[in-house]
Amino acid sequence: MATEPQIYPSKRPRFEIRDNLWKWIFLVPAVAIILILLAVPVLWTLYAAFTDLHLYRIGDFDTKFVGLANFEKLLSNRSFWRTARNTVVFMLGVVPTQLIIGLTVALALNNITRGQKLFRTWFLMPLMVSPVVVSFIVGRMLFQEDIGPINDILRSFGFEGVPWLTSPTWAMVALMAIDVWQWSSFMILMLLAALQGVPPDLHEAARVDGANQLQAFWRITVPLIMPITMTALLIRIIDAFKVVEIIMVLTGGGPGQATESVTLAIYRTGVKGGDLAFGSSQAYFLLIVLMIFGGAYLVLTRRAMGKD
Amino acid sequence: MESKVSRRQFLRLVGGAAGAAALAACAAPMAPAGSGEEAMSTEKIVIRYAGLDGMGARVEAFMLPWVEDNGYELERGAFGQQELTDKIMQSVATDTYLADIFQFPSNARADVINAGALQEIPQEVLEAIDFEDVLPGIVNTLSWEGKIYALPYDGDIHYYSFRKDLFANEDINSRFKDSYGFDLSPDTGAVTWDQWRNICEFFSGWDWNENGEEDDFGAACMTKRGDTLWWGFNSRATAYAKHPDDDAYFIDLDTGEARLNNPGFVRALTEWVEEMQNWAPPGGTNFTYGDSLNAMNGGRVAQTYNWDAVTSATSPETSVIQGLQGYNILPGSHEVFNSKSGEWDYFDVPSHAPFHAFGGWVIAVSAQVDELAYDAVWGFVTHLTKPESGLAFVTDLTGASPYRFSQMEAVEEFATGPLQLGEEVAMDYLNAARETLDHPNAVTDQAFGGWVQYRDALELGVSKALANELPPQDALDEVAAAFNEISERMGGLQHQAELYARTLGK
Repeated sequence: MATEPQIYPSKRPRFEIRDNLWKWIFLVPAVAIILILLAVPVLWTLYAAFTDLHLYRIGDFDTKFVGLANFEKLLSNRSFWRTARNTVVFMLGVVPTQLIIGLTVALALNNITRGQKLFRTWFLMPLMVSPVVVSFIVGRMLFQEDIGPINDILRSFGFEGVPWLTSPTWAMVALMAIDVWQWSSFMILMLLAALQGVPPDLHEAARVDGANQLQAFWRITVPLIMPITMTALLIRIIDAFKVVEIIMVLTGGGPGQATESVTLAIYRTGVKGGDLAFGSSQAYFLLIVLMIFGGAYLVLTRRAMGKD
Repeated sequence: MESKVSRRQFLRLVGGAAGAAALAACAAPMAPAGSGEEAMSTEKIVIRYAGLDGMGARVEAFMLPWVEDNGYELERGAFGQQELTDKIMQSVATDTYLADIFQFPSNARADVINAGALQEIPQEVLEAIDFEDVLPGIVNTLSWEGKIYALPYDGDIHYYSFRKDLFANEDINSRFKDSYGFDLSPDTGAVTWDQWRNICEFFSGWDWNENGEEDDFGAACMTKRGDTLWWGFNSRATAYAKHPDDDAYFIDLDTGEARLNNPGFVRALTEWVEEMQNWAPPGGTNFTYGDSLNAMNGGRVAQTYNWDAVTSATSPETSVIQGLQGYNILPGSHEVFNSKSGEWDYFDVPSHAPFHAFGGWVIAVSAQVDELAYDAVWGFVTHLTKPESGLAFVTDLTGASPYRFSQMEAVEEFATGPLQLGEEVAMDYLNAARETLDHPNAVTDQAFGGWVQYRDALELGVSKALANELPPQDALDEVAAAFNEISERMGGLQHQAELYARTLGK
């Protein structure tokens, strides 16, 4: 018995194949550009870290593979460890301060009913100013030791002027003050957004159950704003580790080496000094430290928030 | 293990990858200007000039009539001082096109010329600009192994600058003499660094500028790391550390060993720290070049040394001491450390060792200049550096300082031209310039390759001493060790000593 041929609908219609092809056509250039712009420099930098590549060496010197020599030199380099210490001190000085200021102001703003938008816009403004401009106007002018307004005010009240830029301790304080001024706004805005995401009925329910304001804050507000807080903290910690602009403008890393950060040292070594090999090893060291720190931070944060 | 990739090949690969990325991103050709088809299809030849923002603007304004008369176009790349140096060094190291003509710091000549980045100056250009008229001290900054690779634009040196009016004041002088046993000289200022120190101390802590405030100090210098500390310190140290019988200053010509921690340098740093901590305005251990100028021109310090103290002091916009200033060669010393004998030698007449600080900006033609623009480019640099043009630049507020014999005679142009120095100041200025540039014991700035690294190492050590992080001897021990390490990295101590000898014209 002859049977009529049965027509089955195709599982992969033509138009779907074309659609996939188009996806690839559009995707490949973007991926290629990203690979070239991101992966190639990153890999070349990694390669450079294992060579003696130097930009400004006179003569016909071949680039040699030197193994871990740059990293060994890094570990025994007192100057580098000084910059690492400065960077950690800077980070520990600015990030907790910004968190405290950010949380305090965000809580205050969250409770006001009028003018909140105005304040929000106002607090955005420091973020829009270039760090170089901030360092010059806020830093070099306000903290000018001789004729700067801060010392002028101190002297008018009978105090001694503070050696803002020539004392190792005060120079670090001045840098921290500038960073806190500029980036506290970021914490304020992030935490305000987090606070506004806390459902008000939870607080009302807690009040009905007899919780006081402090208890409600610790048991309801803090856990609910924790994810955004931890993200904001991570962003600020990474930024603080990479600080460079304000230091270049305000102190140049001085007095002595008291305020030189790791990133500034990398710039001086690799870009200005032409020692691409050692500069690359410093850059990779910073990258590895940040990756380890970031990873550990995320794991610990998740555990603390009970998600692991 | 040695790789098969040479440094230059490596850098070309990186540059190629970056170029490919840029092409992909921009989807536009990025061929060097004036080259290939693009240039063929345009009628006008484009001359590309890379220079400092301020100085370059003046060059552009000066050269535009010539450019337009000849039917060319000028494109000017403007950079900050450090940015320009970095750009040039990176373009040289990566063998990439930056511009047809560039202004560059003469300290970088070993790095730039040795990399084959410059065209040798043709004899006809040298004749056209009357090269014989250029002072030998400047010729040295334009040359390498007896060949000329750059053209003069600026005779940068440090001038000692002091308040002539205060030094001529009889009452002040009498009090000074009671304390220190010698007269203040309104003609010469401090002749030795000992006198400089006495003046520093005397003029600190009392209201000699009579503004009712205790804002008066002895001196201000450039002391900020990453700014101009290198020149501030070396100008202070040369008189102690450069012996007239020894050509070398930074490193030993025989061994290549750094000299930066010898007793001459240590004495200079010890004294400088004391001066800047006690007799300079607050913040004086972290002053930029501009801060030190402002302190002098603002009438707050009695003396300083700087490149532009003379020209900036004449401007009513930046100075309250117009006509009150005197200028001279940097102070000298009766005692000079002899590195060869390891002893201090005494000189009855103070030994001076004026520092050719920075050595000046020079003009050079890139080895990558396009053939189509070749004649235009040489015409441009010839017109820019010929004697008449040079005089116009150095007698105006351009930041350029005199560098030709003929300019040293042009008192009238300096006195009554745009600078309006007046005859007395103009005479002082030109005498100090000539004496410095022509001095047999003058110190040529570091130019033997890797100068940015050496500079950073010295600035780090000296700033540690200025901040009391380390005693001067320890700080300079660190500097010397860093110098030797850099020399090893740059090809070895002996290699660097040979390059140093070449920068000294040996």
